[in-house]
This record gives sequence, C-alpha cells and structure tokens, in this order.
Amino acid sequence: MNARSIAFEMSMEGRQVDEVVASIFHTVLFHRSSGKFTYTNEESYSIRTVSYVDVDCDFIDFTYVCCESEALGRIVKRDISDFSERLRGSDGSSPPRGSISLEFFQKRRARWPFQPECVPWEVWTVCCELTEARNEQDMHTKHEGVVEMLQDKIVFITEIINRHEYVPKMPSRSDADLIFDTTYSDIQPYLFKIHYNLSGAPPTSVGNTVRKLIRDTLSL
Amino acid sequence: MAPDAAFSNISDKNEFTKFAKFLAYKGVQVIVESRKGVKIEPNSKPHTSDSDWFNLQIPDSPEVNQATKNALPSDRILETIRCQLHVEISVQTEDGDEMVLELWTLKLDDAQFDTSLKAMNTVYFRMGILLKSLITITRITPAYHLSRKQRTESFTIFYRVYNGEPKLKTLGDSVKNIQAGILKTPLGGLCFTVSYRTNFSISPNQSKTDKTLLLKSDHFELSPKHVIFESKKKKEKEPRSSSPIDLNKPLRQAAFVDEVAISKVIKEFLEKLPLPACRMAQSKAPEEKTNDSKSTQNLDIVSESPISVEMPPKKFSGFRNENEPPLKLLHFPFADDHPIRELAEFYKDFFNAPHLKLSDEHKTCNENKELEMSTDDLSKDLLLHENSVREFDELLADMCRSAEWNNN
Repeated sequence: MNARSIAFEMSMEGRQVDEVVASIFHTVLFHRSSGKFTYTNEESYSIRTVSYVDVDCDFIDFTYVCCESEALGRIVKRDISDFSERLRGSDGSSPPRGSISLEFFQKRRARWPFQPECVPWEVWTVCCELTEARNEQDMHTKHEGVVEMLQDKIVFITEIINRHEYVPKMPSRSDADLIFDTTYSDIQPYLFKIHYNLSGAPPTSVGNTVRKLIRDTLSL
Repeated sequence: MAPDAAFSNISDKNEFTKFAKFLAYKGVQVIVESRKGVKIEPNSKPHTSDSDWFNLQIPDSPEVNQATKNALPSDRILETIRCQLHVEISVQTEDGDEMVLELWTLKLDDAQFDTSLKAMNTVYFRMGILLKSLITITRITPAYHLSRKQRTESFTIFYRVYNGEPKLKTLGDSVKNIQAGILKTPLGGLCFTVSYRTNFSISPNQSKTDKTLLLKSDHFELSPKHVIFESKKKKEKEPRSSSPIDLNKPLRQAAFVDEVAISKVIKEFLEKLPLPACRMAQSKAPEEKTNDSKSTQNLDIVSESPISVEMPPKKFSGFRNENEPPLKLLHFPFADDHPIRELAEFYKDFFNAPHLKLSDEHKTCNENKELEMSTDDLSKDLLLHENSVREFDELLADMCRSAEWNNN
C-alpha cells in the first residue's frame, strides 16, 4: 500500500508549539475518527455518534475543533507536550528545529513468532522552527502570520482528506483491530502513532524502519 | 456532465437524494450553530441516540430546519442543490448598520462526477467526512470570531437560507473563497464553499457614485448588550435614548483620567464662571422616532431579496454618546494594510475623546437650578452673561498669564 506524506513547515514562538501542532493533529484526527463500531455479524456493523468540541488557543488567536474524547485528548497532549518541552529546551541548533509526525498505519498479520507488520498509509508532519520576536510589533506580525498559516493548513487538510485516497477499506469484524484503534470507549480512530525528531529532519516512520531493516538484512 | 444513468437502480438514486437532503439540512445546522457565538464545551450537548445522521452530533433546531425546508423543496432536492443552496450570514449593529459577512453555498457540480462510487454506505460515510470539514472550516473565517463576541458586544448576527444565484455583490469588492472539500458522486461533486468579505469597511468614496455612505464598519465594535441570535425577523429594538447627554446619569470619564485633578479644575472653573442653566429634553421625541423606524424593518429570511449594503447615509453625531463605550478596532486578518485602517484609527481616537465628569455637588446644583428655572429665564441669562463679560475677560487674561508662566 502506498503512503501519503504531507509535511508543513512552520515557524513559531516556543510557547505556541503545543497549540499549533495540536490544531493540526486534532483537525486530522477529527476527520480520521468515527464513532464506535458495533458489529451485528462478520460484515455488518452500525456506527455510534461522534461529538465534537471547540478548543480556544491561549497563545494564538485561533479555535479548532476536536473529537470529544478525554482519552484521545490526553494521549495527543502528552506526546505533543513531550516534543514541545524538548524542542524548547534544546540548545544545539540555532534556531531550534524539530518535527513531529502523526502517522496512520494498518497492521498486517504475521506468522508466529514475528510481530504484526505496521504499514503506514498517511503521515502528517509538522516541522517547527522556533523564532523570537525582536519587539512587540514584530511579535504581533509573527503572531498573525502563524494564524494565517494555520488557516491555510486547515483548508489544505480538508482538501486532502476529502480525496479519499490511500485510506484502508472498512474491515470485517475479525480485522477491525488491524485498521482501527478499538481501545477508546467513545470514538474509534484509525490506528495512529505520534513520533518526533529534534534534529529538524522528518522523523523516520515505522514502515520506513521496517523496510530499512529488510533492506539491511538482504544486503548482508 | 454526470451520466443520466448514474445509479444502476432507482432505489439507489432515491437513497442518494435522501442523503443529499440531510446533508443540506445538517450543513445549514452546522453553519448556523457556529454563528451563535457559543463555544461547544465538553459534555455541553445533551446525549443523543446513536441514530444521528452521519454519526455526528449536530444540533437539530426546528427553526433552522424550517428555513432550510423553505429554500429546499422536498420534491426538488437535487435540482435545487444543483442550482445552489446558500446560507447568508450578516451582521447588524445597534445603529442599524448592516453588512453581509459571508455566503456559504452547497452545490452539486455536474462536471465533478465519479461513477466508480456505487456503494451507498460509502457515500453516506464520506458525506459525514464532508460535514466534518464544514465544521472545521466554519471556525476559521472572520465571522466566527465576530460571532463569538455577540454576547458582549452590541451587534446581532443573522442568517438566511435561499436558493438560486448567489448574491455575491453584497460581500463587497474584496472577497476570499474557501472550499470545504468536495465529494465526487455518480451524480456530480457535492461541495460546500464559503465566500467571505475581507474588507470590513465601506469606503466613503463610494458615496460619490453610489450615493451611499456607511460610516461605521465592523472594524468598530459598538456598544454593549445584545441578542445572541435571531433568524426570520429582527426583534423590535428597545427605544433608545437619543439625547446626546443625559444629566440624570453621571458623566463617565475616560480610562486613566486623574479624577481628583479633573474635579479640582472644574470646581475652580465653575467658581469663576457663572453657570448658565441647561434646558434640554424638549427635542427628544422626534429623534427617537427616527431611530425606531430603522429597527422595525422586517427581514423575512426566505422570501426577501438579500439585504443590500447600499444604505442611505446614517446620522452621524461625530461624538461619543456617554452611554457608548469607547470604540475598539477589531483585528481582522488580511485587513491590516488597508488604507481605510488609518482613517479608522483617526476616527477611533477622535471618537474616544475623554468625557469630563462633574462632581456630585455640581450635578445636584445643576439639577436644582434646572428645576427652578423656567423657559422665560432666557433674557435673565443673557443679561447675566453680558454682565459677566468683564469676568470672562479677566479669566481669559488669567489663563493666558498662566500659560506664559508655564512656558517660562
């Protein structure tokens, strides 16, 4: 399966990192989550309702929508905060750069004793570069720039997602766990993981790692 | 052009029509909900059954549904959507100034068809995603931020639903368009788009050609209070005092004014100057009438033609009424470099000139004098002023000396 990879390059103040990344990731996850599936037999299912909430940002003049799921919010927040703290604390490169990715993948069953293979089908990456405002006017200009950029990204996200490319087919009951994360009680997002890289280069995806491992094995 | 036999059987087409109908109903609900100025908080919505359309917890306001129903005849669903269904969002200030902010459109584009999409459950699922895109996009246009301020500011946001040709002229010359995704179906591409104004001022230059002048724009947030949301008809406004100054109420000072220093200066001034009695409140009634006539306009959402921004010149006092709060500039994206901004800044500074506050003692004194004096005192006043000419001259000379002394 081909994977679609979308990267956004954005510069922002350190305190805006959490909200910029959360705006993008939650917008994607809102589109990529459905209500809980209830299978009536192997092929038939009904889907429960998804609720959504508005989130007002504190450090940018922006409101985004996300699924009403405490568990999802907690997990996304934890990963983004971890990335943000490390990025803001880094003293290596100047200005600090880092990228964080939201990767959707599906599992492929493997024969024992191997683990199921994770094949990514869509990766959203936000490459962040931290900037510092020289004065208040500069801060105001940069702030407006971040908001405008976010608006453009949100429109782009909706455009991409409505193309319905690369998305896994609706699974039968026995394969539901290979496509969806069924551990949430209130929603059912496609399987995803968040990972980051602080060197500035896009992080290596799970799928790429697997492929690299296979290539390395074959070249031996 | 979408092929005639897009669906293999009639039941699929009927089902598609039904889905399209509910997509339109829910789309309008999403747009209207987002302009109510209410932030959707966790657990704020009542728990619904699991049979919500498109598996999304979208409100189901009967009033909004009725407005949609009037614009979307149930026997001509696809034809109407093909000819476009619109939701117009406009703002009206307390003074009656109106401005169309944005125009949302649902259309079925014949050229964007996809005959490979046959499974109706997939169509349904994808319509749900299209609605999610619509929900997301409604939060990023300037009208969303404006509507969130409705509860604290004095303007009302209106909507109306209509079909046919979009009335894009009402958005002004500077318009931005966003498409909130497109769903390609065998009968064409279903898509929501929004056109919104980026220029929130109407230039006074227009008055030369259009004979219109809208002096206030939503760069300025006007006085507090107001209605959260209305649809079909504007509520009749409460009669508003049209008097420029109401001495029954204390005059308000601007922010950061040194109250003690101001009252001391006024006291000294009044000691030297005999205070003439103010008579007023005789010409109130006609002005109130003028204001009211604007507020009783009937805006029937469905049948009426779009509200025009070409409005007759408004009465413009040029000074802030004591009951009005200072003007603030709204910061809209894309509007920073507009030449009208400088004019707006100037207008704001001029309008926000501080008001002086009289001390309670003097206010009481004035009120007593007012009660005592009748209209035939005018000649006495004149005589008094004439007698006081020397005092005025002395005061003026005193002030000049004081200014010279300060300069030295």
